[in-house]
Amino acid sequence: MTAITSAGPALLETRQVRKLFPIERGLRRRVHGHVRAVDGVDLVVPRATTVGLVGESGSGKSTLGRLVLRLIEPTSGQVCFEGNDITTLHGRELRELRRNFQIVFQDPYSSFDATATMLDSLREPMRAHLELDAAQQTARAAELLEIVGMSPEYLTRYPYELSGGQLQRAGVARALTVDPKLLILDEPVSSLDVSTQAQVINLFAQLQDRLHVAMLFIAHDLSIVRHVSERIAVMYLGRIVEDGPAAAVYDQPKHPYTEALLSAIPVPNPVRQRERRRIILEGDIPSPANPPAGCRFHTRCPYVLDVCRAEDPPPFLTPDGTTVFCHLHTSGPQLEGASIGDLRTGDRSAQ
Amino acid sequence: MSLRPDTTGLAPVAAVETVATARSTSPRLRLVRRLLRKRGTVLAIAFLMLVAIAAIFGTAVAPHDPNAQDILNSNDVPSWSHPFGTDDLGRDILSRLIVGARISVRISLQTVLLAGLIALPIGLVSGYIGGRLDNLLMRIVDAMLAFPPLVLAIAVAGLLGKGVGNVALAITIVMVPGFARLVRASTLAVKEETFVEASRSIGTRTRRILSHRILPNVRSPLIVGMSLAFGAAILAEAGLSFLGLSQQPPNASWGNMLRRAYDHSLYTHPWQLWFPGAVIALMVLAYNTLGDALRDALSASQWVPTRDHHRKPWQAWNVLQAWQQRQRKTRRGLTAVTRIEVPAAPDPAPLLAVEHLSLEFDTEQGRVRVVDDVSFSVASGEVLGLVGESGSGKTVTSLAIMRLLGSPPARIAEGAVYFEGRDLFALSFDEMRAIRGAELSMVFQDPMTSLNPAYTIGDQLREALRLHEHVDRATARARAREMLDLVQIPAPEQRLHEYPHQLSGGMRQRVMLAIALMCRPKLLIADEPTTALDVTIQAQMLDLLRSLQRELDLSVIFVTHDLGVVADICDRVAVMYSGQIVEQGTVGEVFTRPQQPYTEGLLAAMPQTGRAGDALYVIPGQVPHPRAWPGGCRFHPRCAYVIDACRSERVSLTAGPNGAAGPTPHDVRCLRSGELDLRGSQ
Ligand SMILES: Nc1ncnc2c1ncn2[C@@H]1O[C@H](COP(=O)(O)OP(=O)(O)OP(=O)(O)O)[C@@H](O)[C@H]1O
Ligand SMILES: Nc1ncnc2c1ncn2[C@@H]1O[C@H](COP(=O)(O)OP(=O)(O)OP(=O)(O)O)[C@@H](O)[C@H]1O
Ligand code: SF4
Ligand code: SF4
Ligand SMILES: [Mg+2]
Ligand SMILES: [Mg+2]
Repeated sequence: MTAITSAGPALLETRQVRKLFPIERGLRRRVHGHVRAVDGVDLVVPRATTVGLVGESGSGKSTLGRLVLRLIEPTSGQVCFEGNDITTLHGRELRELRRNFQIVFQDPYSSFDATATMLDSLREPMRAHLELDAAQQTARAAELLEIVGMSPEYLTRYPYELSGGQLQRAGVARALTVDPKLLILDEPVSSLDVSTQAQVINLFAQLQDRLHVAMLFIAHDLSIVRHVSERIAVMYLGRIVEDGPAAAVYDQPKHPYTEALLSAIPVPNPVRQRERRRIILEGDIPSPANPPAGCRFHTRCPYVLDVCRAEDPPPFLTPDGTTVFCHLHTSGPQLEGASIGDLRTGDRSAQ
Repeated sequence: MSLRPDTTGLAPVAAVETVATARSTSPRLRLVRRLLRKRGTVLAIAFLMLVAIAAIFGTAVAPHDPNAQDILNSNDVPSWSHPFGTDDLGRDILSRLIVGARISVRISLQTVLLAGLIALPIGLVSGYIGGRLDNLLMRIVDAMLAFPPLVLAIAVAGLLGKGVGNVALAITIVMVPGFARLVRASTLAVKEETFVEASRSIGTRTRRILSHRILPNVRSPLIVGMSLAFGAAILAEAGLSFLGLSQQPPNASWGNMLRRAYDHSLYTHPWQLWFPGAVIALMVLAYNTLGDALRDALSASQWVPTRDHHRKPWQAWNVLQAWQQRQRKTRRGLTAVTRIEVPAAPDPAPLLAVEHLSLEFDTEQGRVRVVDDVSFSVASGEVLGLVGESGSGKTVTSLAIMRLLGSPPARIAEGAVYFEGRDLFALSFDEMRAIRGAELSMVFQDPMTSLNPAYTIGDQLREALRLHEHVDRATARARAREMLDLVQIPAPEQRLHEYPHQLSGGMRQRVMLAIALMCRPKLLIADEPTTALDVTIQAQMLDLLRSLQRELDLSVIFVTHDLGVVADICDRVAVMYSGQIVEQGTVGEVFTRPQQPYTEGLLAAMPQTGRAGDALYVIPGQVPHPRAWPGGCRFHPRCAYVIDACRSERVSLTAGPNGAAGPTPHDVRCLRSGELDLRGSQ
């Protein structure tokens, strides 16, 4: 892909990675099929770049994040870190590797042990990876809190004594302790208030500028990830359907699902919001245990073609560097890499 | 602000925020306070202390030598020198009870502590590591738990032989499996918590995760389990003693005293049985009382941290429980009204008018006002948005309208709510019940906790109808079906028989809506009905709500903190800050030409507003706790336009500059509203 040029292998690359969760029933735990949570994903996170990963609930975003961290084992496929396959690492090697990846979770309250002080929680990664004595650890913890804009006085506090936004920033501080190369942010602002959300989003943008840490920013709202991402990948039912430069994905979506996701975000301007043309997707996301054949989006797609029901759409690389999986670009009216919006305005369909 | 020496070459990326709130009392102190609140617990503790003194000092505090026989005074009834009388050998019963306490206390402590200590690692490892080891350990545990405990203890003690030490060992062995189970179950639950996953992803060793993350969190249930087991240990010892397996005569234990009395005095002097029996019973009772209190105190301290608005799920659940119970039987339960004056109803009366509403909570730290002089109205067929940051008082305001807040701690201190001209705060319980759910209805944020998991969708829909209308089964069923159809649930006939867990989040929220609309209410209060949903499902939900609102000519109060949603669906909006309304007017006016700095800040902070790449606007600081509302304008510590007058002057809600002229009022609470040129949304 375009972004990986000079620097050799990408920081992180997944190759056809899959995770199937067995569905067990009854006393004997017989396997009755599988939840195809992540189903053949190729994703590249270049060094010091932020990649946004968006999609509906249940599309497999968190599962992909946990696969990358090796919190769960992939069913098949590879996860490569700086060009090396890490899916086979174990024990000490794996612990060493984990220095490079850190994660920030959605709910700040449940991602901190309620019985531990901030200092105790911030020390945890230091104990695992850094050789520091107690005084150095405290100093480092204080410094980390200042990086995320909090006073060191908070070190003696318990999680419930902090507001959601503060605790989420402490979560970021904890993740930064060991100077990771990649931060995985799993819906880090979804449980926060508007004003606190803005605070934390800004923090990520600033961190990226100063620390040159790469980030995989998971969210279900495109408008949030676009503020910090260079690239955006859109996931649907265990697969990536569109992956390209942030501006291209946000302003010229190439996949009908991306277009629908974008049109569903309400803008806080009554006039614009009410005259916008909105695409309301029918129904819920289908069960990943039994995904539709052909294009997985065909049950809800407003542009569905006959071929979509039968054949998996092939990847299509557009001139602006987006990879999109949709038959519209190769069959039927043939968008050939143009934005879905063109289909509506009739530019293409007339041809 | 001064920076520390910078070892990484990094300056803080954000302005450092200092600690604003005062440190709260330590968790341990709060636990003790909570424990001592009940009289029963205090009595139990006092009794246990008394027994502890007897056990520690034994013969030193006994009035007589417990083993000294005095055949002449055998079987004496209670008297001054022998308060509990003497036994068949003339030994002082009180003294023997005091000395016997040592055995009972020793065995109960020793066995329970030892069993806990053995069970802890078994349960931890079994639960955390899982797999084959877990399978094996739990098979053994299950096998042991299959026998009645006393039978097992007798068998083991019989095998080991007589003697106090062996009995202790037998009781310990019998207790281990139960504790191991308990620890394993707690471990399994804690293991799934995000913070454990966080520790794993940090690279912390398993051993450390177990000792520092899991252990502190399974400690409470184990402590409670153990305190409840003390009673069982006392009983077991007494039982084994009674059978002659434990303390050997002539040394006293409560169990062998019982035995001696049983053998020698059952028919002649039955009261000799009472004393050891009563002491055993009291001891068990005391232990259990303490265990129960400990469980309540521990769970309360875990679930209700000091920041009240972080207990949302429980809050929602409690409110719903309260709602359902009150709808049925209990007569107590409307939010208490302690107002002195009754504000007059506006003329002409809109569908709903909230007039000068103030709400107070009685908390451990004293009385706090959380809603302060709030007035707004909803016209027929109108959708009003109620917005503001977390903790601004949106939910409590909506619950107060329905009078659903529990009293204590809540009180309606001032104001009135007129619904179709009737003052809701003057209604009786039955009058209010007739309105709730029928004319005035509510949808809560979390569809998971708001639906009862034990009943089918159909049951819950029909129940909502039957509370208000006497209809036969067939009609109720048809209506339920029709409602599911109305909220656009596919295959409604089939869904009627399904349980909440079988539906997706979006479906559940639709069902909630169907329940709320079952009796065709005139006003619907929706508290963040879409916050927990995906953007795509939210869009579906908003569309549905809009079409229903038009079709049924429904009035809606829509509580949310998402201004995009307000722009989409609301006609008018009221912005709340620190328990007050700071701006209200039509959505078009307020969003495009805001007159109040807080509204401007909220609009600017929306991620949809800013351009990609630019930093988002952040309102500095935090929402103050109701106990710490600043004087003057409540927004002044965070306001970019603050002037000296803002810090001292009372700021009231007045007609804004362009509102007075227009057809619908635009009210603003700001000293500088006329002179500021604020940015609205683009
Ligand atoms: N441990 C598990 N066992 C079985 N199924 C699982 C497990 N974890 C996830 N799944 C399933 O895999 C699918 C993808 O889940 P995942 O949590 O990755 O989605 P997501 O995109 O992160 O959604 P959300 O926005 O709700 O967090 C879901 O259908 C989920 O039910
Ligand atoms: N039972 C209670 N006891 C004491 N204080 C309470 C109680 N319930 C709510 N409060 C306080 O009342 C204030 C308003 O709370 P409310 O839940 O109405 O806020 P909200 O605007 O709905 O916020 P959110 O967006 O978080 O739902 C908060 O400061 C809260 O701490
Ligand atoms: S492949 Fe077909 S069904 Fe799938 S998104 Fe494209 S047009 Fe829609
Ligand atoms: S009154 Fe003063 S402090 Fe309050 S919002 Fe207006 S300008 Fe800001
Ligand atoms: Mg997720
Ligand atoms: Mg609320």
